[in-house]
Amino acid sequence: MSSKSNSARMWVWIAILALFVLHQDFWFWDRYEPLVFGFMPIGMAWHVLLSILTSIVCFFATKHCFPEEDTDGTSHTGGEESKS
Amino acid sequence: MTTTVIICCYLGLLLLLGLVSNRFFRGTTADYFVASRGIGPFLLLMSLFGTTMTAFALLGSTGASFKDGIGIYGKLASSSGIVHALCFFLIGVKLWSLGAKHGYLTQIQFFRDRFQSDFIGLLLFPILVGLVIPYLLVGLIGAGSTFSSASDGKVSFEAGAAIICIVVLIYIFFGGARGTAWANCFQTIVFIALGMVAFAIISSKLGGPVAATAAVAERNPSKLQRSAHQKDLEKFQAALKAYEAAQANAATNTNSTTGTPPETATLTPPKEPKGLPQLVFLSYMLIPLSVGMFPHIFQHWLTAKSASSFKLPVIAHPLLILLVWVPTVLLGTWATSAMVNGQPLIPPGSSPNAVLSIMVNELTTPVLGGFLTAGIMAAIMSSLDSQFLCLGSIFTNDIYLHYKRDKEIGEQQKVLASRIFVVGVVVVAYLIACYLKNTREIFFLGIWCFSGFAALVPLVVAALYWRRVTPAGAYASILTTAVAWIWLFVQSDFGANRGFLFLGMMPVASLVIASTIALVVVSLATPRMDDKVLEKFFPSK
Repeated sequence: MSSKSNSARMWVWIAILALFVLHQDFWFWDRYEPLVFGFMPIGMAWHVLLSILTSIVCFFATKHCFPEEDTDGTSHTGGEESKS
Repeated sequence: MTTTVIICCYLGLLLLLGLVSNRFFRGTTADYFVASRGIGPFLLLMSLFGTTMTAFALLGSTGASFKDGIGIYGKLASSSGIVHALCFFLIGVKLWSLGAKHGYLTQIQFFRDRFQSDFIGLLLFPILVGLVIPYLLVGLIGAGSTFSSASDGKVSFEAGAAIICIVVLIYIFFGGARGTAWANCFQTIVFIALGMVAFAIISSKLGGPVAATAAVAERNPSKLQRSAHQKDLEKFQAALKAYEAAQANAATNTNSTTGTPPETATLTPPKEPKGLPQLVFLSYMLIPLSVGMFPHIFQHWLTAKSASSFKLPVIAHPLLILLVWVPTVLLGTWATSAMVNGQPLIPPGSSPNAVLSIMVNELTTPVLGGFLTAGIMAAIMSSLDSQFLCLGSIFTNDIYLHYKRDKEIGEQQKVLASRIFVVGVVVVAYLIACYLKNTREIFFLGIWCFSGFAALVPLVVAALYWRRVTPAGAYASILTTAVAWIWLFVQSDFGANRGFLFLGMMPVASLVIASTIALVVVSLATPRMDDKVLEKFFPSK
């Protein structure tokens, strides 16, 4: 494993940890303004943004942290179906 | 009538889908239970999403935001996006890989093999089945009630639930896991699309999103944030003063006249606006962890064609949650303050779960009402089918075939047994649903089922990633979960106390911590497993 991919993996794990921390947004607990797009309370908009960020982090996770040995189904011996 | 016709057409389409999927059936148990591990990324995404989103995603989220405001999005939706994606990635891919290598069809088969223990199957079987059944009943009772109310009572609860059971049974019976995946995909598209259409029409009827939110800011600002707003606190203080004055007045009048209190004495006290405690918000994040141990999700994971098939579900699942939850949470929040002809859109005292149906009936056409009901049924059935199939699989593989292993059983006989078990599970679930149809408390059991499954997640994580975990550690974790769950459940008056917290947190937090401690301490105190067994699960590179 190259040091570049190790570093990418580390950043992905840091980003995942950051998602959990950012989810606890006590800073938006007691207010609803500004209203994003004029109708979405800031506390909700924050969590919508977090959903989008989760998807982006997951994209990088599948790119850099996906188990190499498991990415191809043909490498497996097959399950019950191969026996029947 | 329009609604009933639309629902019947929709159910007809599902039947057709089940029958078509039967043409692809290969006649083996692996095909019946895991679609010969041939489901690609898109179908996997839709079937996983459809299974994890129950009717709660449409009705419950609108009702919950009507009751508690926008905080429900962070509490349930964005947290599920993070936790579900991680579970698919860290648990799903690994289990799929081991399942494909060693031919597992159920969770219990994996745990029996991993811990070289038959006993762990006997320990897990009643717990998994016991936790899935209430969850399944919630869906079935919801489906029967929705059908019955959509037809204005012309179709009874029993008939409605029976029709749903028969439709689901037919496409599972003929199509197995493949039929279920196809039906889930179709149903997921239906309920996402209908949720968005309902949102567009209703928000325009309310004067647009900006006006709808402005009305909430004016009348119920606490619903737009997670703590009680000053304006609502002042309103509460004024209402409390008026109530106390009315009570004092009533007492004076009672004493001075005939002893009959005037009508004002029956006024109910105003409810103090309360915010969402941060510790509850934090501990709620452990609830979505339950997908890591849901047997029906495990079964969907095993249907994947390759590990790469998981990439799309991992990436897109949080976005699909967003697509479903943002419209419903906003609609529920707007419903708190929407007025029609000078009257509240939602009559005082309405059930929160009825909010979406009231909005659709009042603000849209009967055709959309019919489609929305079909969408609600879709959300319910896309979870029900997987639960039926997984229970059939557990009974067939972990009990019947496991204890008949000394006898030769052909593939056709196995498939026949599987189908008989699925029919048996559906019939039993239907009878229980009819018996409990008026027991509303069952709806509050969902969160307890999720908590139980979440507490078992440390076990599957350890089984996949920790060489040092031992069978004794696994037993300790399962037994601790069972005992702690029962104790907490009793403390909550058997689920009747809906606001029950333990140490200021959701009970799931204590359950997960207790099961993890038991797992780690007992594993470290007992001898490690044989290296030959470990090599099977942790091959040296």
